[in-house]
Amino acid sequence: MAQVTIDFFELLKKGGNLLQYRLNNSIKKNLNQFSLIDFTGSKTNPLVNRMNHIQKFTEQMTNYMNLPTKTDIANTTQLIIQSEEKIDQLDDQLYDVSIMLNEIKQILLTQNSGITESYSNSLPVRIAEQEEIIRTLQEELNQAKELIFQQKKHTLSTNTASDQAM
Amino acid sequence: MATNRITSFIKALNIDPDVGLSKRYAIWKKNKATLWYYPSKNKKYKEPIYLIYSIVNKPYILDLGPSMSLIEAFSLAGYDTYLIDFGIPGFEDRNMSMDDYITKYIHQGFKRAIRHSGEEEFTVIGFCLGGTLASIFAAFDNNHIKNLILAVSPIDFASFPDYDKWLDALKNQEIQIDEIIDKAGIVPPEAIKYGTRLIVAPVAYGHYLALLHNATKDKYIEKWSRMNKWTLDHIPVTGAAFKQIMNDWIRDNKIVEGGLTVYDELIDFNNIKSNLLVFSTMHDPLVPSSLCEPIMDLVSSEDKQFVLFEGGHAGLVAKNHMPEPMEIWLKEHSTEL
Repeated sequence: MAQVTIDFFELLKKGGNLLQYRLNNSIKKNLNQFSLIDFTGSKTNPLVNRMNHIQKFTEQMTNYMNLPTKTDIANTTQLIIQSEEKIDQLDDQLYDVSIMLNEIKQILLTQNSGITESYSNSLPVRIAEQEEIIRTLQEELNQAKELIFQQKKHTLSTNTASDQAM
Repeated sequence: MATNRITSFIKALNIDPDVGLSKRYAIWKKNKATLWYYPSKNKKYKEPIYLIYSIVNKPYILDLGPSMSLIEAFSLAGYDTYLIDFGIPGFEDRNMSMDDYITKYIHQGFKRAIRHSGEEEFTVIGFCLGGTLASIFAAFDNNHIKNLILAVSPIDFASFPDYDKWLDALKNQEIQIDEIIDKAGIVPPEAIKYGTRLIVAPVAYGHYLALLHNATKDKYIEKWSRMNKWTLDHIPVTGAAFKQIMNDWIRDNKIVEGGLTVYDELIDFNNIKSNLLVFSTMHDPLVPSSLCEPIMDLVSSEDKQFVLFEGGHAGLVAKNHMPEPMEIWLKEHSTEL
């Protein structure tokens, strides 16, 4: 006669999952009601008003205490982010210029007729110098961005620390 | 035996596994975002992969750990991979909208990836809300996207069976969220966590029972602890982005109905001409397939395919291999070196 082994934990899992499924269906059905939607709608405005009062009160209090608010810190951080964006734009422009220089160099290497020999020889050197300057500039921009990034991190961590202390 | 099982169950609950272990390099940073580069040791395909993940979870679900990482699977298959990781937004980012995510992060990151790789064509893959962002981005600038893959990405919000009355109330503007979001600035991670739970499973203990059942299997415990960590690890959503999701995407269903804009530029999904693979899963209460499939009718791609898999929302990507149809499709649509 074949022996059937019953795995208690498997049964528990299957039974539990079935119960979970039924519970969830019941909860979802009960949540999907107009009465609950109306209740939520009616509570939204008073909640917004209360939040408004608290925020105004905090703004006034921190003003008297000569402390920066969360919004002040956020606005400062926004300025830092804007600097980051400017650096990125500069970096993009430098990249475009370096691509353009490279293309000019290629054209000069293939079509150098009509240009005096000394000029034709000196141009690739000059372009190489410009490319080197661009590379240095890009590195400096990256360093500046890293510094800004660290500054932003510092500003935000100071803000978080003061939040926790309060 | 039962004591051992219970001991290892309790131990498993306290594990804090390391995640995101694949070798990677940060090649661009902006605000909290980072563009990560995962080089393939044996690059076989010309087109690199550019990954866009959701803004409500951390993207390490794509790289949970050794042998349970989609990114590792890409690298092993021979694809160089880039991931735009948006980071964790703070109160100072409260005005960051979906337009900003698309133009200042996804688009800029994509340009950096092009610059870094030296390749002109990419495969862009978006997951969950990241897929919705990827489709908007592809419609915004389709120039360098050879292949577009959208995984469990909601597009059509016309109906939501479990909460149809709430959806109607939102559509009829009986519920107004703008003011409360403006006051809060950001939607905290707890609100995202419990909001998601309300949609999927308000009461959730099944995964603990599954762990108890498999508590003697080390491999199972390892994967469970990583997956559980990710499930609980939500991030805040910026107020401006949340309002756009609720008002433009869900309430007005602008992706399907039309009228979606990015910085006042009208988005036309007909601009998407890339080869398109859309996949969805059969048992996904968060993003049912009915929300994903309508993208097929919006694009003008000649080569497009919709695949429905067995499984849930996130399980598809937490494996040591790509889903088979995706692996075959990607191989067929990439250029071998």
